[in-house]
Amino acid sequence: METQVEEPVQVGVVFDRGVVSPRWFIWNGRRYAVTRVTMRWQTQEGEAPILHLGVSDGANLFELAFNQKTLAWKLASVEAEGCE
Amino acid sequence: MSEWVVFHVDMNAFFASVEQQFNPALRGRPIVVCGNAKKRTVVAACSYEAKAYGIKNGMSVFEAQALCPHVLPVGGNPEKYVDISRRIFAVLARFSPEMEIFSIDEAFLEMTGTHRFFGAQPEDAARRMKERIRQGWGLTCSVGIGPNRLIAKLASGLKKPDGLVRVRLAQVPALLEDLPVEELCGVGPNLKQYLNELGILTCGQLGRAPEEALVERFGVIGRALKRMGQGLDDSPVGPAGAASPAKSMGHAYTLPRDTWDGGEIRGTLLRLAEQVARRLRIAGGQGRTVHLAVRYGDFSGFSHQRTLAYPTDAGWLIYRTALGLLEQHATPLPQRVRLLGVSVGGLLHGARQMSFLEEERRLALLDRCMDRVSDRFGEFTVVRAGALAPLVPKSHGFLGKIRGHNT
Repeated sequence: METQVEEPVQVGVVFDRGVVSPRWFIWNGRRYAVTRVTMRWQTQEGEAPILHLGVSDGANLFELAFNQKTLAWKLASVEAEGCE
Repeated sequence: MSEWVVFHVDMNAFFASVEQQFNPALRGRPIVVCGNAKKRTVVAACSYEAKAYGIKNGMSVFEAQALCPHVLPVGGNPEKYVDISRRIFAVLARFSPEMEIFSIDEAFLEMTGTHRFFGAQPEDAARRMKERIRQGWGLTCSVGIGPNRLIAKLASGLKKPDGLVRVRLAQVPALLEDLPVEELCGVGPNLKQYLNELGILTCGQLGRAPEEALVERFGVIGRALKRMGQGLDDSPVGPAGAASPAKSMGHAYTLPRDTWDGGEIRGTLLRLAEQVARRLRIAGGQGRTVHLAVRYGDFSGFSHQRTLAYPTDAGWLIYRTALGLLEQHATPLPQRVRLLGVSVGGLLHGARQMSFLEEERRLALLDRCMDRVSDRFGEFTVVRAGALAPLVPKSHGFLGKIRGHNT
């Protein structure tokens, strides 16, 4: 079941040849290792392009959103049934 | 002379497949993509696993669950589909400069001149396309190859999912001979019934039918129907974005629960009207005909329209007109309201008549100010207080967004 979160998170990322690959993120003081990026897509929020990433920690599925104007990350949602 | 080579690329169960790629836990399971993950909306797309239970697009989620109790409803994310669709079409555009986006998950490509860059046979280019899409997004598509658009589209439907079918010119008569007429793109349920009443059940019969009889029954399209029955289609594949301007724009919303609440109904109508108006202004269009659709709890309902004295892109005027229609045709409300839809038709693009009325000019200026805020900070950052009804998902106008303009 998907739960909307919309909270700021800290994210460790590798930027490599135009591809953004999160490696971990910290939410509510807990560190989640990203084992897989399942999907990437982009939307527009006013002037800000938002990069969305479906990421898995091996147990749950998360949607991270990166505001490319403010360079802020947030956790958009958690899918508790999502897993690899 | 070699024959024309047209590709029709059809993404398989596109929305559902995207969700299955996004969430690996959904792969191999029957899922339906709907307006939200609750039971009140209809199925916008279903996975092949769901189709195996007889679930079809357009059913209510409740009906889908009756056919398959363990089907998983997944809330749709239109922006995700639009963006992925755009990226897939960008990949396809590398195979041919002549591509026509037919819908969010379908495109025609004129490959006569370019397929040789990718291999000896057209199938080589198709395999490359399929591989690029699979590598990029994990998605499958069916590719139909034919001597024209009509046959290419038929061919892509012959094998799903993940099909690759080529129908050569010489094979067309055999393919069409026993094919039901409704398999032809453009032959809907009504036309099928009319053709069946004439004793025309198959494409082969349609191709042999006397042209005069078809013209007498169907008018100018009678001749086109006969050609379709013969597998003939000389319509060109248009370049991407060559679509004609939209004729109407609209939004509909299923309320979270059936309601008598006038405030909620008016708020929803205002929000729908504002959304339609915003899209009109972005597209540089104005419309004269305001259309209201209402569906009640028992799925009965009505739709009515009113033509304005002059075209508009003003949310307040669209709202006032839609509300007037509601009050005229549903006072008092006969039962709880389930769904509301507002659209504007008779669109004119480019022309704009400034109002001489000071109040209307002031309201138009307010719209422009709100547009500037939305452009900078996102849609509906500022809304009229009366529109603080449930948020309406941004789920319409797919084709325009993919083609780079709103429809």
